Amino acid sequence: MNKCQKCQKARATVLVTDIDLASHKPQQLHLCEDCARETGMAAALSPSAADMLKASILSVTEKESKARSAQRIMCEHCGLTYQEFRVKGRFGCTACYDTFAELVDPLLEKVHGAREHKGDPPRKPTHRRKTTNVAEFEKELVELRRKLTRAVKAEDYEDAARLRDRITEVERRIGEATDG
Amino acid sequence: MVESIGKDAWLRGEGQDADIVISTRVRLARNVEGFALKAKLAGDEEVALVQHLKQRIGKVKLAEKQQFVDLKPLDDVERLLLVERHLISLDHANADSERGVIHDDQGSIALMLNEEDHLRLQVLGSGMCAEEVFDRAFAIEDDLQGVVEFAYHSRYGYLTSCPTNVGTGMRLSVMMHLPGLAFTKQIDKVFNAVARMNLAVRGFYGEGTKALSDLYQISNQVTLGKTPEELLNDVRSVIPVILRWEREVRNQVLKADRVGLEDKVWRALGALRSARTMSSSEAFEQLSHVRLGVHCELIPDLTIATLNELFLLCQPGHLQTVVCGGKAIEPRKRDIVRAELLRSRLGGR
Repeated sequence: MNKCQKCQKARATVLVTDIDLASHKPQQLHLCEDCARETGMAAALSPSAADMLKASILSVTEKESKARSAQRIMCEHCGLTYQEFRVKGRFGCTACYDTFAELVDPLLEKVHGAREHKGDPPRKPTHRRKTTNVAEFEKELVELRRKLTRAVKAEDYEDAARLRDRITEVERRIGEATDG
Repeated sequence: MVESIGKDAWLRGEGQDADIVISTRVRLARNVEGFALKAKLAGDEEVALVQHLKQRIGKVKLAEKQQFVDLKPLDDVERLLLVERHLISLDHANADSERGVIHDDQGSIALMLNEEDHLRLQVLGSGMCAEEVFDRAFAIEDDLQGVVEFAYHSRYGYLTSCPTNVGTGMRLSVMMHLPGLAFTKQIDKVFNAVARMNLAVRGFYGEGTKALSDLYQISNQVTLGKTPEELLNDVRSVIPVILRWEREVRNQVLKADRVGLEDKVWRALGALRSARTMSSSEAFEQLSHVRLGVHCELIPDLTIATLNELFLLCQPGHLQTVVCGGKAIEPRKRDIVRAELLRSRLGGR
């Protein structure tokens, strides 16, 4: 009697084909019905990009001792640390790519087999000036709303009133810029 | 949303090699210059980002009809429905943040706002239509570049939250129904061929999800170091090989054991026409067999479009919307309702 390869208890009655995370080769698993049901009726396929990335981040960081110091770097634009990136596998802002360039390059090499983009660059937005203005206004709006929350919390109502007026003004300008 | 159920263009079972290729999809990941990426985007910034994109993209004509759907106020069943229509990802459905989707009425174009990247642009088509969805996606992207400034790096290309998508930000996936190769346990051939080409096999709902009854998604693994056209060609080159194998296997089985195959196919149809309860996984498996039967001309009077529609209707979100008027019902009751639906659609008793 074949035992289930997952729980090692019940009799294996279901054959599931899975892909080995390391070798990308299919492997067959003999499972009992309960474990198979838990796994879903069919096997998981290729490892998710996130899993692959995590594996790559680990091996890259272990190998590249030169880059050790870079691991302690924090992105000054968004505050992301390399440690955080290792856990989440996601960057915090576009500047992170430059901040962590020393670590990014070997990582890209491992994941993509390349370090540089090939393809056309984007064309310049036709309404670029306006877009930038609106984007800037919207960023200011976010900042103002944050300050307003803080002012209200601190019961600084004079400041809050001033901020509220400014928010109304910025909102009006966004409206103008996008209507035209 | 109810009126569009089962009407999406990719379900029609039309297009090249539609006997094996269910659908072809391309997605482009883009981020907006000036906003932090998802991991460091604060709640109020998310509101501003979605607003910004909604407003900007609203000025671009994507299709005859397009609409914005705010995902936050939707309930679970409504979100599931969008996932099953492939208009949003599972992660996008389950997130808690400010987010939305802009899609056309054909279910061919979907722009997810504030997903893992600020914008995930997707074009979906029926059958093998890689070139068509590719051209359409890049044409839309070009229009969007007129109104939105995407984050771009001179060396790394389009910047994405996750470095696995950086460069082109492009993922081209072909959803294939491979019951013959699965039945004869030769699906490993596909995995090996795909791995050699640096491509990936994924589950039904994309990355990290499980395969449903003999449906496999073949897609490019890398996004950096190759032009979008080169990536398109990589995927396109491997599909005909898999198609040939699947067809050969089907013919071999028909020659060697026609009765065995007929038995399998008719039993599946029998179960679908008779069962009183049916789980979604069993329904998918039986439908997969029947689909094979229709293609091998073993079952008359059934079309692929009907089966594609039933594949969709059997999924929990659609089932609860179509049969239960959008009310969530417990899985056991769902299995009963699913069996009823299948019996009535397939002329059972």
